[in-house]
Amino acid sequence: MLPAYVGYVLLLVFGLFFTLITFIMQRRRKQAMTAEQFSTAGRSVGVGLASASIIAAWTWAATLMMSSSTGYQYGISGPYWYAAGACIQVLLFAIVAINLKKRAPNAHTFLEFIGQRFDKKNHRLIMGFALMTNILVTSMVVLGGAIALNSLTGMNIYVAAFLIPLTFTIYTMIGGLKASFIADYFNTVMIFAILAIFATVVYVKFGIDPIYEGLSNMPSSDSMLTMASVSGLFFGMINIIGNFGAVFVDQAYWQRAIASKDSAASKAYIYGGISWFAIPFAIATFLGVSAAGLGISVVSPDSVAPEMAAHLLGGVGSILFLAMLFMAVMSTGAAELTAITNIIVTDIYRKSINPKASSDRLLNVSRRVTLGFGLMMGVLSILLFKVGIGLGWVYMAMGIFVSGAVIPVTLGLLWKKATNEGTFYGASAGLIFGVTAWLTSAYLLYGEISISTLGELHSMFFGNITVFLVSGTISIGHALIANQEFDFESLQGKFRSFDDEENEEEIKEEGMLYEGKRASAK
Amino acid sequence: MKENGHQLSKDAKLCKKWAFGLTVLLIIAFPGIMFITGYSYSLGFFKGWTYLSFSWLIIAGLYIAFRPVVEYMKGEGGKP
Repeated sequence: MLPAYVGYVLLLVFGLFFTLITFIMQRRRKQAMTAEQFSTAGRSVGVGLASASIIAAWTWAATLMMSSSTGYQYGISGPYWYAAGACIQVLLFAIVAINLKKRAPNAHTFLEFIGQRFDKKNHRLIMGFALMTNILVTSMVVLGGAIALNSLTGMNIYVAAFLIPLTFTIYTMIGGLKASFIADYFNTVMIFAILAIFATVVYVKFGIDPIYEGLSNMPSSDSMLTMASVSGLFFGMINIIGNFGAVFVDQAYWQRAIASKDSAASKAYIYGGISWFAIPFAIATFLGVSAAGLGISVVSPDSVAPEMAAHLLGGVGSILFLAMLFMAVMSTGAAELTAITNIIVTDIYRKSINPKASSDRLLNVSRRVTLGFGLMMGVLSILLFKVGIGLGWVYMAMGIFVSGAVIPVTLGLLWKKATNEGTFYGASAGLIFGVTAWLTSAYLLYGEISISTLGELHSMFFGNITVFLVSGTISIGHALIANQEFDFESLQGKFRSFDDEENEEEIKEEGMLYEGKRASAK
Repeated sequence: MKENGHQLSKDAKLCKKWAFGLTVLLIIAFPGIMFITGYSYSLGFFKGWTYLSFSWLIIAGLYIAFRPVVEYMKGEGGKP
């Protein structure tokens, strides 16, 4: 185990490094920071940066820890199902992302679109889902980082949970979404580099033959070396279903489309998804499956990755692993933080509290919300920890709570027939039925409702699948019966930029267009 | 503006193909075949599997590291 100061030094070094980079970028930039810049990064991000940032937002501490644990438990099918099962959501998200770009090029959040597409109650309901997703993901990510720091360095877990959000809050507050993108880029590159080091060391130090020997000599050898593993398949199914909510209802992913240039939006998700695949696939193969093959005994399968890292390279391995984990935590945290800020500023402050706020005012509010929420996250994670709800539990249960909105939101973007009532009752009934199915199946299958029976794979599976079936049936069914058509063209010009100057220009342009039309009509 | 919308529609079609194609390949076709045949990895196949995972990692890493830099140099990524 490393000494506690390593944890503090790591936090300090990364915090300072990214704050410094953001500060320099800010000084070098020619145009002044505006509210629009802060929350959309100028809508000018290219494919490369956007895909790096999508990878960073989707690389959670769980991606590194849990994927290795599945590799250790299920053999080669574990890493594959983890990677494939969580990669397709990002690929499929490309389709809805580009439709948002097409139909609402000036929107700041997907909720702003929902608010215009559907009525007020839907806007509020989906916003509830979105904020819940952000808060769950953030506290999970911060908690994951704090637990890792605590178990590897002995650093106080509460101090860690409070200091981790502080590191990314500061640079996000200065530079907004763009700063988060730059940090994401550095973090992603470092994660890839450290993974490549681990993989190389496995090859050089052990070679593949002894790992294969070990795997085929294991008592459960049949399922370790084949994709035809039933438990692996079952895990894959839950992973696929459960992860949809975490991508489609999370503003952080919509934000990456909003910030991209038009030509980059769809490609970024495809390239990002394919590249992301390599992270869990490689780490779980080289740290999880090889640990099983080499017969390394671990305290619990969840901690196989750090223990294997220490086994490979000793203290250096631990520090490298910790740095990698911390970078994953930091970039996801920053992405979630900008997402929450954007929702609060666009969909609450500007929509309901102060619709006429000037650009300066909005920028000011954005920064305050960022700071306030950043500090609150630490407290939230500590609360979750105090309640005694574990990481894996939240990871799997999250789907039940947030996925209700997946089908309604997707339909709202892609299908002109989606209706207000179908969306509202679909999403809310999905949540209610999902939770009911989850509780009932836990009770029927295991005889009692408790944290542990609710955490069983089967209860989770029935809960997750019910959410999708119910929300899908209601929202599609109602739309087919009502047979209304929504005119997406009517959304044009409904979304205003945060910057008033630009706003005036747009109004002028519209005026000119109108004049032009009148002229041609004559 | 109109031209832009046209380009976006073209992109949308292309990315739909890729997204669905890759999804089918990754979660139905490949694992489906492997599951039905119940193939147990031989040493050679296992080696190939680890090489695949390693080279995927390296190629993806290089792409992610260099594409933003190239875009930045060309001024395509938008000035930060």
